[in-house]
Amino acid sequence: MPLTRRQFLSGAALAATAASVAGCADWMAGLDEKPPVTPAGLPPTPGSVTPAATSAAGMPAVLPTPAAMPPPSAAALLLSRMTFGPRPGDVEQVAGLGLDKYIEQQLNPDAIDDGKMVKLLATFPTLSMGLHDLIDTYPQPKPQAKPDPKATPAPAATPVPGATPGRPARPPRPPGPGAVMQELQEATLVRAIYSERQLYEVMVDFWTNHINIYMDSGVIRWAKTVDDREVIRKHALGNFKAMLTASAKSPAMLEYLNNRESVKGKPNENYAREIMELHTLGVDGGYTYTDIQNVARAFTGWTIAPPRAALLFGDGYVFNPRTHDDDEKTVLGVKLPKGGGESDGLKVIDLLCDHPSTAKYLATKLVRRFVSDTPPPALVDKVAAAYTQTKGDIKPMLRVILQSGELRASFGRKVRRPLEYVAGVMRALDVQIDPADADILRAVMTNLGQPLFLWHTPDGYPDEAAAWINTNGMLARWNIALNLAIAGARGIKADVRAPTTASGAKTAEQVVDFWLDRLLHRGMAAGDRQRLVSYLTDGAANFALNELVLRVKVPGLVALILSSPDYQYR
Amino acid sequence: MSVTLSRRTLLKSGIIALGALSWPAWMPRIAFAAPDAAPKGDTLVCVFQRGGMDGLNAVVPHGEAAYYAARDSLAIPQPKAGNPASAIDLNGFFGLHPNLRPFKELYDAQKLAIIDAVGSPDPTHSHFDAMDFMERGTPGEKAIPTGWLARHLQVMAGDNQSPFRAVGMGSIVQAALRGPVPATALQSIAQFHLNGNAQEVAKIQSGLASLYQGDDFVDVQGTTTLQAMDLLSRITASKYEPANGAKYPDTGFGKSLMAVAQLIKAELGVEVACVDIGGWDTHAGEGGADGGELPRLLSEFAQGIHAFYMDMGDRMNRTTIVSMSEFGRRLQENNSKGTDHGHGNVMFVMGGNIRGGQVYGDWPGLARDKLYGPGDLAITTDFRDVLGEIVKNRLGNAKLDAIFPGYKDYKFRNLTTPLTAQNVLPHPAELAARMAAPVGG
Repeated sequence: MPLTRRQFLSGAALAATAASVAGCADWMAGLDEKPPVTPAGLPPTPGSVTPAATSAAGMPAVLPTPAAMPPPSAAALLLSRMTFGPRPGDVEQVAGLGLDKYIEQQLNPDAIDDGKMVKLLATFPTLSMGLHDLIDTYPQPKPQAKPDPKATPAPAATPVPGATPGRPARPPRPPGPGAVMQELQEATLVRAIYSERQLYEVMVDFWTNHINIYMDSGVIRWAKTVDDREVIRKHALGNFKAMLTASAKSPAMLEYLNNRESVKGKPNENYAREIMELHTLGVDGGYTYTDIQNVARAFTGWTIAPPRAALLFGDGYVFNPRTHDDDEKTVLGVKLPKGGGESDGLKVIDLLCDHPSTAKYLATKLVRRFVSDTPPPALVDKVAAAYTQTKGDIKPMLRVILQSGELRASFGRKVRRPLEYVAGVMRALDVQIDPADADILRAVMTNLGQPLFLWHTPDGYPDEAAAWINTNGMLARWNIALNLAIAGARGIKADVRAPTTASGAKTAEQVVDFWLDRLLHRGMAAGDRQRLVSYLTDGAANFALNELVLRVKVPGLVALILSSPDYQYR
Repeated sequence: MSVTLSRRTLLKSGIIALGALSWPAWMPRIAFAAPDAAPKGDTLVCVFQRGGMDGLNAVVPHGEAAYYAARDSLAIPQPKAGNPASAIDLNGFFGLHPNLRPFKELYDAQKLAIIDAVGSPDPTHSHFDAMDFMERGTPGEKAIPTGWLARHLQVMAGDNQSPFRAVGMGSIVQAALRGPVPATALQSIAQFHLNGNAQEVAKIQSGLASLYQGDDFVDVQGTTTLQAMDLLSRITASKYEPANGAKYPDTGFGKSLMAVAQLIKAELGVEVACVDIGGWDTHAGEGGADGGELPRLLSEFAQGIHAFYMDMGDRMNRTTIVSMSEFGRRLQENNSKGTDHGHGNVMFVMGGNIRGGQVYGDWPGLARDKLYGPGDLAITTDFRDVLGEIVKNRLGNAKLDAIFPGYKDYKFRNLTTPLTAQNVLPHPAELAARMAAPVGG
């Protein structure tokens, strides 16, 4: 009897008949009985899937809030936005301290003791080195003939000192600039996870993407480390104009957006376009193609000192008057008189930073980062006003956002991007690692689609849910949770047993509630909580926190919570 | 009334949860290939050569003296018998780069068409803008946020609910696929599963299926992931062996193409797939006939597409591959034995219903007064002419105004055979044979 597709798809039929129909060609031939395809191949009606609103990235801009998710406390929500995720005990501590006090503490990172970072970062000597030191110490290896694939495989790398038996050795650093790049990626992860100056690290990530530089190209492979230190980290909570000025002179930026080769008569428009479109005014910020051309002319001669001239010119940026277009130019309606020299570029930076479009554009991006994929306009206006009043100070903008009612009411409006997921999971489970094992986390970031400093285009990694919550990303997140909670990789494994036994939880419900509170800092919808209990008990009526449960089921429960829809929100 | 197979239905009926244990190996192909969900036309595979391929060295205008004058170190010699480093002649004027030799067979079999002096009319020489314009299908226009393939899928929305309806090979879906129709980002078929102790992982997986039941964005993506995982587990039981001796290059590009072939052969409802091959930004050390970045990439590119052709066998009759790159490169080689960003370029179109064996387009010439902007090959065919013709003739979607909004003056080159009832559906006997064959073979 031929099954109709409907019967077939009704599940019950499938389970019952699956075994018996395998290989039954007659039965399967019934599938092609009535193909209602029109000659033109068009469906009867065109698709009607139209999102109510789409963002600039072409994605649904509104993230629907799952109605059933119980909201977190104000302290938990604030921590989930201004840090890479609370550690055990953080929420209680901040609630006790008071939210405003915590905000002020975090706005003054220099006053926060972060001594342990010094020790953790000692593993990464390149972080403090200058450009030419880096190039000299990590020279580009001579190109070698491609290894013959038929040749016998190279012997396994010699074990790294300190490797313990039975524990896979760390892969050796690649020769040359590869090591410099890896250290920057790993140090960034270590800082995101372990620094006490969490808001500062969150802002470092924000500006890294706002003034994005793809690292794996030419001199940038060494110079991004300098850019990270002297542009991004130096000004992350300082003044925007100071940061932009430093960026305009940063060798990494001069190389990335081609200003180094922009000369009189043949200006390269790449940087001119992006400094307006992406760094300051925004694409609709009110500039013309003529402005792009003239900004490019203003920045001609801003270049990188030739390596051999470093003694004369210092370590990186140099202004070359001979390649500068010194004729008069007009930018955004303002005349830059003939003979301005290097000051042409500086005046352009002034014009751009003082422009109301810049205030609005930066405010929008910051509100999107901290509050919602669809930034509330009233809050954007207040943040923009703070920028304008202080001529570009970053802290006052953040203070407005962090104290706002809009943030307090915004649960469910942001998801974790990969960095926030990885750092958040590590912090929530309080996993302590040897920084030399951070290469594992670096690889995890690649799996998740966010290898650090490797976004090609100058717009930086997207900050909207739809760019990140996709099949590949979901699966990678689930596997990270499984690895961390159950399998463990080299030195990276969460201890879920000790907190469970220390919690005093006895029943399955108590164990689930303990871990929900520890990981989500709130409850789950009743049905979902019950599903977690069912997983933990394997459906059995009797539950005891025995060895098997501690070894298998509790780690599985933790992985399940970290993999749940609830945990993807921050 | 048509039957809609929604992932929600699947979940609620418990199929997903049961599936991993009880579905027979041939299940995926019929799960989504039932009559009312049959793809309307070809499966389209889009290959994006990121960085700006040097089309002038890929398809060499060996009849142009200006080409040889401008490229002292990089020019590919005129075709000459016995010289393996010379161009492979196509029609007395154009020739293939020697490392595109696998294309010669496809060209001679009339399965491969070449379009020359083609590209995006926007003057930008920025990779970002040019890629963006091409992937969104809107040169010079940034206000339309969705990708051209996403809009095509939206117009063609029917009953195909497969998570593999649109596949972007890689960790993030390509801009061409971004839009309201969910696309699956896939790095590897074999790796697309949960890791760990099989028994416990199966329980965690059912746990996940029970938690991801909502209709919000995160839940839907999670459900799609679970569904994709279930379907893929069906085709990863044994190692995939390409058919007909096809040998894919052992690179990201080769593996991606092989994965696409595997998905298509498993009848998982693939309508469009995007595959990237990067590294074409050859400002320095480009290489002429051999020993540089471009020759290496051209080998990988041609071998990959040739392997896909071999592997797909008769299914090529329902498949079209099109390649594109954001811009071509300058005619004059630079001081670093490379080439800078240019304008006009080459597109390759391959498939069972492509009128191959020809170089299409109007050759503008390389004389100084024929060049575009700073010395680039001019464009005489808009890339939307090529894509539009494929969409209309091979994908059966006539609503070009929704896909390339604002574009009117299509110059179809007639490089495709229009869909007919005969070439839309496989012959019933073929279908039956295909159903009976082992999965993945």
